[in-house]
Amino acid sequence: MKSNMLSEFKEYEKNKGVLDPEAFIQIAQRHGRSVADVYSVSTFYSDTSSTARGKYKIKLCQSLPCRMKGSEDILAALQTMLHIGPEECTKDGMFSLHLVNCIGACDRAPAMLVNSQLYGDLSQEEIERILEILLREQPEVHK
Amino acid sequence: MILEKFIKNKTESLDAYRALGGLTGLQMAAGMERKTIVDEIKNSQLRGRAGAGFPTGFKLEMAEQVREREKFVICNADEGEVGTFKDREILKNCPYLVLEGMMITGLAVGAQQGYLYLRSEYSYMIADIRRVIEEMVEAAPKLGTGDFRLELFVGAGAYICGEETALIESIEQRRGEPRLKPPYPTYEGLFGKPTVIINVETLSNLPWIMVNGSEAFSSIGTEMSKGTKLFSVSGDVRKPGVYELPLGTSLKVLVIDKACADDVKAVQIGGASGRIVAGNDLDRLLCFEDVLGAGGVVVFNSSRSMVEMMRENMAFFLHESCGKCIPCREGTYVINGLLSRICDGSGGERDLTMIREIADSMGDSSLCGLGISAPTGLLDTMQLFEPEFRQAVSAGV
Repeated sequence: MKSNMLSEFKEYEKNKGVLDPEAFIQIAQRHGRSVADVYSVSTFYSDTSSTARGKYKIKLCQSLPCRMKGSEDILAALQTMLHIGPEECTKDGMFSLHLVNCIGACDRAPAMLVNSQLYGDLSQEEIERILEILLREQPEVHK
Repeated sequence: MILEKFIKNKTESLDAYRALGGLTGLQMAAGMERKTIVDEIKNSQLRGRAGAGFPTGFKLEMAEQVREREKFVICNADEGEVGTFKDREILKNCPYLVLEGMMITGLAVGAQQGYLYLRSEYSYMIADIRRVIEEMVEAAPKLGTGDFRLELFVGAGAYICGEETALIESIEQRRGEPRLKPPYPTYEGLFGKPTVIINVETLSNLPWIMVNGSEAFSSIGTEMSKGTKLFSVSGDVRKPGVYELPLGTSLKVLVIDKACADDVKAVQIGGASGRIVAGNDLDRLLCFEDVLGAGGVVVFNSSRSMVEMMRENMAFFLHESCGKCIPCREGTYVINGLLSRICDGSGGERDLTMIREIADSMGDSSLCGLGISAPTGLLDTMQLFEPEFRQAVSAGV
């Protein structure tokens, strides 16, 4: 297979920070498809959104097993700490918050992904610890 | 047990995998005629482990018989069903096993190219799987398998892509919307070529069947459900996790003895689209004849409102419905609204009738399994916990 459009979206966002109109024009040209067509592909998948997202994308699972273990409290804690709501991004561009469906970590509920890193058995203290580490050490963003 | 030793600890290297008996099945398959491999798998009576339970041997037989030079094998690792994480355990601990299963499938049907479609939520496994692919592609030809190319394809967050034709659309770089069947992928799949799409757990059984034979495999389980199954247990239990049990084991053994549930009001089997069994009915059997799905088991204790649980489930389908067909797109939307209204205390008796009617039409007329099975748990719950729904209609949750 020559190239994979889904990974091109992800790669573009990683480099430029956001999927802007230029992204769709470039990718459409490369694939010989219309811009509208390429845009329609991107809007289908939740990982290829064209809204501005943070360097660290916090994806909190909101499916039933995580809900049962208190994911709503984790959401409230994240909102208080980051001063943003779901699908919003902090002003400094560091964090964005997303509610996602089952991430396959129900045995460690409540759970979330930060970029591709999985964090389970969350509590308010655990959230504080994770955010602090991300802010302080700024480790390389996980692909 | 068949898979237990591969998921208990992480298999760090190809040598470690060989020490567990890995690659023996592939080596045996490499020395066989295509039809002999297919017959062995067919005789084992292995059925798909992702929920639908289609006989794997038939799938392979059909694909083997198609006269085309180019064929594809796809491993479906788009595990997205709520409460299901068994494929994660296999892929995280022993991707070798899955790839060996893919290579055996390739030999059986005469395919030279395989794709592993990994859901993006499992991106933390990408580096590891890539490394294992390289090792396997290098090791396999030395066993006499001929060339088999393997590629990892990572999705981008869409539950529907676990549906086989939607998955194909996704690899072909389009919106992951299901196709109308027929034509079935076995005849016209990826890039219009014959394609077998098999789930991670199903593939992981193939090496064992090659080594131990179809008879040993079919001696485990029930009449219609052979072998063992991985179950993902979560919710109100003390020991959530993945357990392997022979098919036909009672729900009680899994939920009470293994996962240590203390108080069981109800159990949902097969994820958000699965059946609901009441807590006083745990003698039910985990097999295709009774209840199974993909083996995701969520336990609810007596503090849970079943009406509320089902609203959460329907919210999941509302988000994940791809929107291509009307019964699913509109049905999930309307049922979700009705359930919210009932939970808020502003519902009426009529809403319950309406939910049943819409659910029936969704089952009859949706394009793919998502819309057909979305209301399954809700309908079961409305029957098993009718007083709770009536109560909610008059007073909310």
